[in-house]
Amino acid sequence: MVFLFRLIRKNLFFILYLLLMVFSIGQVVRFNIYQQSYFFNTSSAFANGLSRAKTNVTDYFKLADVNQSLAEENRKLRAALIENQQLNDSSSHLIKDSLGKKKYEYLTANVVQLTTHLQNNFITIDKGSNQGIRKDMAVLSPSGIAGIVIDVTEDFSLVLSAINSQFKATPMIPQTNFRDGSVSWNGKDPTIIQLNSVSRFEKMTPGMNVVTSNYSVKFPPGIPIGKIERVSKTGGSSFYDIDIKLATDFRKISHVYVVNYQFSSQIDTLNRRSNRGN
Amino acid sequence: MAIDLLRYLFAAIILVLLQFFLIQEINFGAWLKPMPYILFILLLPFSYNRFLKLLSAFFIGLLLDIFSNSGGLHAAACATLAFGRIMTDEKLIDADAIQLQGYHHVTPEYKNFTYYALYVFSLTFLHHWVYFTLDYFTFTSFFSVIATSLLSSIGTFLLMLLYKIIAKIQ
Repeated sequence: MVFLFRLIRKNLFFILYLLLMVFSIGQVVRFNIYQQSYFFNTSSAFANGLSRAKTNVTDYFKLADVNQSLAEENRKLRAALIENQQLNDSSSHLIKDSLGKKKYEYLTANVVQLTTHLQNNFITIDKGSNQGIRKDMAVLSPSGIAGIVIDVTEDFSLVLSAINSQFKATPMIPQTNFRDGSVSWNGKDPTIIQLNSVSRFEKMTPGMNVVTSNYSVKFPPGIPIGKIERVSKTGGSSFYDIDIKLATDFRKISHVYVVNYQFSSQIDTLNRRSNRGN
Repeated sequence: MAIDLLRYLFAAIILVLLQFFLIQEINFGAWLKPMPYILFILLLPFSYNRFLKLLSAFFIGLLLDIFSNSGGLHAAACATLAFGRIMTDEKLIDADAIQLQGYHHVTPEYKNFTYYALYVFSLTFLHHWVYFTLDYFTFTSFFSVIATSLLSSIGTFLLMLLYKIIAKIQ
């Protein structure tokens, strides 16, 4: 026992170093393996003071781009309004009205902090549990997917960005009705995300739109992920290497929509029940 | 000594703020990610307590981590840098001789620029290697880690020289 104390006394400096490393590396391991958020992150009010100051300045420079993306979004939404569509034949047509329960509710939020240079990037938004945000809600930008909420405090939330090595989404290509594969980021370019596990027998051409499929309960279906930019083969693999140019420019987003899927609690119950049965 | 400590603390905060507000915003490319805030760790005098140096480096790294949402990346890298520097100072180089000549840390004036560059560059590379290993966190991207550590170390080294020229430290 005394020998142990003496040993610690002699090497106290090294032991302190090891403790510090265990703490910081432990955080990184915990995030990468369990997808938990870091202990100290920007969803606490303290860190936000500085981040807010920075985004106040950088938001000003982004105004022109944000305005343009909003105008484009408005244009798309107006075009989809039923009043603006000419009905081709008048024998019978389906009128979408609001008799059904609203499936997805959208909350708007502003970006307080975001990174794009790390392998694991996050976005911090200025809405939290007080405003109705919960873990696992999807986050969209005006142009496409942005991420998933992974941590919530009273007034802020931490969002796992799509440009994060732990992010996964289920894609669909409406052009060919392709519903396979998965979308995740390989860490190289923050404007390009990868489409994985696509067999070489599928038809894939650059320019095809990739959107979220209806197999995911987090993202509403049909949200743009991006456009296929490059399809290539590496010898020996039975899969394509597909690069998708992200619809969202993560360096320029400053406001987002958080999706509240009204039936998520029912899906969670079903999942929990099926897990218990296994 | 107390006044100097406050000066170093102030310099550390300024460097972290510069890193957060300025350097991290500039897009140097996918492989070049300089981090010149580590200059303050390399400037700490030999005579300071080694625990103080280690802990202050760790907390400066942790501060930057909190602001940039990078978990423990900077903290771990800075702790390793401080540990590496302290071990180097005590065991590898002749810190006493340097102190006798009146310098508090390794400077280009001591022997020649090559000696200084080797010292600074190898410690910088150590910091960046730890940082990018944790950032990438896979074993398959060993060469990506080495490549980006190398390029970023060169970038950091040049930026630190720039900082020194601007702040007129020698």
